Amino acid sequence: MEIKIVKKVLEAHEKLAEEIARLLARKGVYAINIIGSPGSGKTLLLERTFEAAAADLKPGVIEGDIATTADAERLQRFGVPVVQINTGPFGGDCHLAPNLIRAALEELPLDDLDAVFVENVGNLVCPAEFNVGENEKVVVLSLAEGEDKPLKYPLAFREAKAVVINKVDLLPHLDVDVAALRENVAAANAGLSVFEVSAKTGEGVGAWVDYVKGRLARG
Amino acid sequence: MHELPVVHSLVRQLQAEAERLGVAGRVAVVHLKLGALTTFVPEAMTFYFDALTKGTELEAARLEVEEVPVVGRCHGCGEALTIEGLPFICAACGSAELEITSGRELLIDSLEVRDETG
Repeated sequence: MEIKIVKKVLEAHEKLAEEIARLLARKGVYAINIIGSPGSGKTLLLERTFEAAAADLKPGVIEGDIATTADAERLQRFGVPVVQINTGPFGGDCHLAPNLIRAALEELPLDDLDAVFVENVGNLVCPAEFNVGENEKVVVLSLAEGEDKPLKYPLAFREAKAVVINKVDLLPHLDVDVAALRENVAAANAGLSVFEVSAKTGEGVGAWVDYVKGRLARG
Repeated sequence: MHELPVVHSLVRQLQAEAERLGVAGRVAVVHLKLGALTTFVPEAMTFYFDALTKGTELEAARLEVEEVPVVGRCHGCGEALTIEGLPFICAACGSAELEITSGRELLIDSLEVRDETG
């Protein structure tokens, strides 16, 4: 006997993500879920963003890592409220799930904020899979990772609204083909806004910060 | 590795469904629909399923994963299209303005249940 079921396995996740999205909308907070490989420069990009937009951004941060509070400590120096989530001391979850985000949001002063940046666990695979109630996902991809990454991890690029190509200061030392990288980004998702930046030198950060400010203004 | 918590959710959900339907201990096959535009690997799903159901009422159940192709609609020309791989563009008109209509599924589709006597 066959019994038809047709139920989503991640339904509880999706409901929770919708609940988080409603909470954020009610508080007037725009949430950006930042996805990228380990070492792509996600934290440094946030540092540069907070420096450049200190006057007109009231951000909070949720930091996701398997272990350590190093990134949270770096960002606290900017006077930004930060909640660190550690998913497990020796290899916990590889992404942030909505239940962790909801708990972390309770620790942030949402009434005083206009943006929350979720720095997901460094990984281009599973963070793409899970909606945590964010307004948009942004991929941070460093030039050193090579031009083929959008082809290898299409879901991350498909789910995102923008991609920040970081570490452009390394271009003279790399064999990476930037034109091919941009083509591959467009092949995965032609609708993506693309920024070329060096979070280290500050090159191109202004355009990215303007984009963030624009998204917040649009709500 | 991220299949493990997902399969864990699946197994808990199946136990509740089997209980609700009064077929606990009699589930022979679980038909799962998995979109091609997910990052879950069918072999990893079945591996974790067998491990997590061992010693439970679902131990005798087999997980069958059916892949759902990525299907979209072109906003440019209205054509419905199946996307086999990158680039995500309309084969008919070349537009990249696509709406993905399926391919992100993770659904329990149906259960095959043994007869009470069998």
